[in-house]
Amino acid sequence: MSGASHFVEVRNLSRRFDVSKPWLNRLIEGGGRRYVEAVRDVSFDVDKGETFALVGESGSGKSTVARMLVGLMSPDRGSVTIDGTSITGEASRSEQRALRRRMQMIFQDPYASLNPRWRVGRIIAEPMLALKVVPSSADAASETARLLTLVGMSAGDMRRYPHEFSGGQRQRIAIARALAARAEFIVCDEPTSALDVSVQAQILNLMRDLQQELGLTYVLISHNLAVVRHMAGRIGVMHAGRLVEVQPARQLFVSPQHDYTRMLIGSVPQMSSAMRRASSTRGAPCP
Amino acid sequence: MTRTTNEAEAHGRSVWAGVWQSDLCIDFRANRLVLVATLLLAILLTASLLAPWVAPTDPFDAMSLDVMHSNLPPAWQQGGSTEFLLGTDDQGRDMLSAVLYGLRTSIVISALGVLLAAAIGISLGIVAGYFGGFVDTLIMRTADVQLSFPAILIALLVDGILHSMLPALKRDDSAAMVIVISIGLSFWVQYARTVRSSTMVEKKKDYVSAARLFALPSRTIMVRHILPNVMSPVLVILTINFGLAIITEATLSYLGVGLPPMRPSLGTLIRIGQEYLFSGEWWIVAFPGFALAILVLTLNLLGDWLRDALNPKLR
Repeated sequence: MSGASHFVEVRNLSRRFDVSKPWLNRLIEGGGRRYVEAVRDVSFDVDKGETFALVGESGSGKSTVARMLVGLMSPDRGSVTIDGTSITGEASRSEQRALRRRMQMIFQDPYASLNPRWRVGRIIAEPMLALKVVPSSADAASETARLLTLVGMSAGDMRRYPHEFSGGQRQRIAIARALAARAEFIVCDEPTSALDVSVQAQILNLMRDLQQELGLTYVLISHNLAVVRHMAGRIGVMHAGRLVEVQPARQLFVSPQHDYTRMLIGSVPQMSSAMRRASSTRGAPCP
Repeated sequence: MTRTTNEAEAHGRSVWAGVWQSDLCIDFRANRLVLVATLLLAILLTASLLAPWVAPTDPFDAMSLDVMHSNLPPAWQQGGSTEFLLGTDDQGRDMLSAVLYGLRTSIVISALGVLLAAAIGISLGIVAGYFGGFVDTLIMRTADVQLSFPAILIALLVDGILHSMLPALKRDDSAAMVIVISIGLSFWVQYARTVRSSTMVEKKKDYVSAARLFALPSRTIMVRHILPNVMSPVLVILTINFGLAIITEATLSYLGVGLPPMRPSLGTLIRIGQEYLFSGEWWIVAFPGFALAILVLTLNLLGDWLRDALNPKLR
């Protein structure tokens, strides 16, 4: 019973990519198919209202996990269960829609994640109409205005195009779009890594405020330990496709168990020096 | 109430100002050659599309033809008449009217052909690029095979197939359709290749992933999201291909596969005219040829400019 009570359950997720040469080259030059194991046997749970972070260097498989979590990519093995419903199993279109409604994704590059030819109003209204969250396009328009103010923009921005906004504003639009689907579970794939440092904190704080207000559950993918420490309750460390360590955020920075985690924390210059300074002046480890 | 109309006016003005101040428009205004080409093209297009109202006579109305007026030279030459500015042919047809009507036929048929080519090419290209794999291979290899057939061979094939399927069809009636289909079938490959490669770039962008998260069917994603984002190179090809299609239509008509002498296009006029070239009636072939050259040249200039102007790397 305790195993089934988690909101999101990820079990033995695995995925490999075919990187073989083309068929004709294989035939003439010899050599069989070759695969890259991007994700191997990744299992973790996320509770409702929690932020679970996945950290790791580029190529460690965290984005692949993110895409499998929302069903953009199907795993070779393993399963993802959200509130008791498997997203990897066969589902009818209406079941699929019901599931999609609950989980959305915020992408890394806000310059590529919004259709450049669409006005913001249409971008945000699209999931509502596609997933049948609202009955009519008039309702969608008023809901869009509400969401825009919720993410700190003005309702008049509906009539503008994405290129008229800065990266941070676009990421706010992307967040509004995820909320438009009435998502409870949002996978954030490096949501701030394409943004200026000054804007990063604003977006992260917005995400946290929305989480408290709406009871959202986040899986946060990041390579930035400062971001992760600011946001996450628990942190999973990925290395070469494996989840090497899962710990509550505070504990991970104080007593990392795995060698790779220690290396990762040690490799952030401003972080370790800040920690040293904090411990030397106040005599206590940084929270 | 007044406030909203003022706002609307201001909005309308800003849209115009936006268009006027856009990079494309500034580039356009700065380029004299393109301005002249566009002006010429506009004159040709309006004059030909309004041919029934602009032309002095209806060259297809047999009742108005008078053998007494046959083979008259242009107005400025010895023996010419101001009634027939560009002279007449052997049946007494006014060449100016014939050229205007011929231009109209050429333009309409080529435009339909190019649009058909674009429709086939864009839809196949977007499907090939979006789905990839076997579908992609099938469509693109078909395109490769297609390239080895010249337009004239396709025209003969289409003509043959159409008449074996519909024996009652008169060749003169079906000629226009045959040419439109042949132009469509011989020009689609370029659209398919361009759209396929742009689609492969676009489908990897996150706005397409986001659309997939809304459980939208592939067809909707292709039409609503990808199509508008792959259209700008297509616009350039459309312009350049339009010129090529006019030449293709003229070639087919010149070779006799195309439009009949009763409803001549520019190519048909040139074919008729070249029979009189050596007997001294140069104007029967020269003016349709001149109109054809100007039309294709202006279209190519416009297409070349558009290609450069839309390519940010050449700015």
